[in-house]
Amino acid sequence: MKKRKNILALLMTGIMSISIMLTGCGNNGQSSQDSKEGSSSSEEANNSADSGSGEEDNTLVIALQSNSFITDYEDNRLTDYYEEKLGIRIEFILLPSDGSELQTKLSLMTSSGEELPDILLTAALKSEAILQYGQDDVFLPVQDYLNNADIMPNFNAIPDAERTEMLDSGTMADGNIYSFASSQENPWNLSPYRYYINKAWLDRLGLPIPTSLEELKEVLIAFRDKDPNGNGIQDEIPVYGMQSGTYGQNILMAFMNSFIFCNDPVFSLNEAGTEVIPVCTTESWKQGLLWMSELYQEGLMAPGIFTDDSTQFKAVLNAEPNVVGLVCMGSYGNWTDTVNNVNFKDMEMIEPFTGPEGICYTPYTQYLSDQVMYIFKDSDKVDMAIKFADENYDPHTGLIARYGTEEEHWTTDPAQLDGLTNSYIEAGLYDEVTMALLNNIWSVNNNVTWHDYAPRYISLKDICTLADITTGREYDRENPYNLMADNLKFYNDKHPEYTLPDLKYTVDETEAILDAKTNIPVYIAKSMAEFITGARDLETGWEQYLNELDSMGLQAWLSAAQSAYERTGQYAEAQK
Amino acid sequence: MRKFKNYSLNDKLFYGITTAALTVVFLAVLYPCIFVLSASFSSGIAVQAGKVVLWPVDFSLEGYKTVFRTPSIWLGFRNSLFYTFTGTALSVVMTLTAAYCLSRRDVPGRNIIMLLFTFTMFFSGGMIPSYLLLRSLGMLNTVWALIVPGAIGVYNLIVARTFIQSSIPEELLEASMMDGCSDIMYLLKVVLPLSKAIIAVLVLFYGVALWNNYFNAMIYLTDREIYPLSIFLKEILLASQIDPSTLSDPESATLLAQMANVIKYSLIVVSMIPVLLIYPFVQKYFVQGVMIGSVKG
Repeated sequence: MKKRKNILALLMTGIMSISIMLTGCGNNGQSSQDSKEGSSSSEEANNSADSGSGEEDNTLVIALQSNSFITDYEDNRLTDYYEEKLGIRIEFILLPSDGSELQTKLSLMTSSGEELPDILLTAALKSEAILQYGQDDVFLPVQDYLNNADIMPNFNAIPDAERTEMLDSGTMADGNIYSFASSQENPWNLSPYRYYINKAWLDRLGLPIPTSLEELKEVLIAFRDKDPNGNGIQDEIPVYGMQSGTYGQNILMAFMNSFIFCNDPVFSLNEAGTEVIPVCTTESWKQGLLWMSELYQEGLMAPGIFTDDSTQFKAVLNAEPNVVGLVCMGSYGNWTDTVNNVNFKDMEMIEPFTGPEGICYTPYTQYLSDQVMYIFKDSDKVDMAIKFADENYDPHTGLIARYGTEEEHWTTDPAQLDGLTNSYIEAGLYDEVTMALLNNIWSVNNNVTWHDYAPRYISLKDICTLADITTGREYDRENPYNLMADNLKFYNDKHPEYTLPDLKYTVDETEAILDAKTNIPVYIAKSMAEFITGARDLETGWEQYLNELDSMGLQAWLSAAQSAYERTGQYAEAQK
Repeated sequence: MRKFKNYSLNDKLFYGITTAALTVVFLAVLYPCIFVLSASFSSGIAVQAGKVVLWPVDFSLEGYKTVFRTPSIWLGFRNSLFYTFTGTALSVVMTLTAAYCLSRRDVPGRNIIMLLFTFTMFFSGGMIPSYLLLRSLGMLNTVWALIVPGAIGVYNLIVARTFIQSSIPEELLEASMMDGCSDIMYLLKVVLPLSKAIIAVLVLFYGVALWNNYFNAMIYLTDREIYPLSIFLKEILLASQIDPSTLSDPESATLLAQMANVIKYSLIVVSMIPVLLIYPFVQKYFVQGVMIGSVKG
């Protein structure tokens, strides 16, 4: 009896170790998967051949990233609009609203060999994934359709500059375009690192708004010592921010731009726009760190900058009484219920600071269209899918898809627009309002749109001449929404002529720099915190920091970034 | 019951430390629950500003009102109840029948069958083969995709088998056979009435797992009409967290997040209610059932 048990145990161990070997060994797993894909694609071909004859001809199957605010897709005004206008019937396959889950499901669908839909609508795919699906023959290359004005008249009616950007942003490293873009440039989002200073404190202390880092330091010392919020306790935080913030809250990056331009902590461009430079290894970067560490040693910078998350960030901003002197962020929504927020009333948005070398930049990211629509290569309704894509570039359709029903949710009726204004028009940047939003459907449950998951083109002018008169967002001088034009004046031109565009790596490059790309930004953020707080000495630790970056593969990533940059249109332009 | 002061020093120390450690764990588990409850009754503005620490701030029912006005919540609730009831019923029936058979020592080859079951506890085909299987069975995007796979949980099967084997003496079987009882009658009239504790445990295990089931629903379903509540819950939670680096219009996303934040906590409370309602009724069997199953195994 006992012996039998031993044998059994031995058997189990054997099976387990074999299976561990199978799963643990990357190469084995890969090759078996490859062969599976090979067999499934032939099966796929059979499937589509079978179903082709039986189905009705005008049905377009759309796989769509779902959104919690849309209550119904079948019984939906936008669906009806498309069906009527294009004479088609739309069927949905709903995909998860979470981007990474969507990708899991998509890879299951494509690798299982089931019949795929005709169209995929999602903004969740990054360029590496798009390229991979393109090269695996899952997505159809569409550049020939995009460039043909007979097939896609609406797309080709888009002004040249914007259309070129849309084409460029969709061009993958293999030269193909697999996607249809959505372009809705909004200057507010290009330079999100907006400084807000406590104007009430400045006034109380009789100080002017600082314009350089030197002046700023004096102001901050006064904030620290003179109890500007008048509660008798030294609870003031002269500089606050959140290093982990992704929408302009990382004030370290904002300060760094008074020393050297960078919109990304790893790479930037040289002055001539011909060469990618690792900005995190430059002397200017070191000077920036030195200046910030002095600030920290003086007790002017809150340690919370390095540790707080967005909940704590908001809690500090909304504390009573106001304790924040200077902060930086993209969305004033961090002051909850902004319009009525007492702390926000103290704050004033100001221009970026000039550094010791006279540099005054802000992290600025070139506008990049979103890639939102793909056609599956096996689809037998490519023509219909193209027609659907082009319909979305029709300006009127674009408005319906984004803002809802005309005259109910938005209007262009001159009688109704009369007397309306907005921040840009008040600032004299545009002449008159061209459209008004009447009712908000963006953040309420509805079955009117698909929540903006479709290709589209809305021009900068259209966005800047829009009057939002939905409840609570009406324009008024005291309302924070008039910051839009100030933002344009203060921030939009504070960057060098050439800034690093979005880089599209080839499959090989992506593989080679995978580790570097995940590890290096984390390491840089950690080192910034250590250097600034003094946990690591800047003079003695700098060499080791540079060596560490090299050992993590910075040079390999740099050369990949350089060759990716040389494939962009901007490089060619800078060469001239 | 001895008095605490009569304990030896070692025992005192042991009980003291254990009590302290368990209290810490208890508070750590309790706090998030209280926070969610308080936040659900607070105004959205107070929650976002981080003013809610323990008790509700600016008492408000806005979150609950919004939740109950959202049609997809009702839809999800209905579907989740359906999945939980039918799924639990199916699972319990299948698990008990299998457990009963495997507990009988006179079933030929029962060790091999048990080994096969156990094997699946440690090894599974993985996500893609499971997906392919369900596709071939025509179960993709149907309610069965959530109920049939995993109808028998092997762990539960072992617990149930051990329970039946150890708590129901074999003499009972002999006695009933003597009186002319058939196998099926023995199961229905003798085994089941004596297995209330283990049934309660199975109901709770399966019920909670089905109620919380998210991954299978996410992978296998594409039709909104049959989504369980967990999917809608995830969608709303997701809308409240924004990653502006992947968006071209973070300002609009911020607007969305503010809305989603208001209803997030109320929704979590609503989705917890059914489990909380059932638990007290099952709880008294719970400890008893699992203990018998495991200790004498």
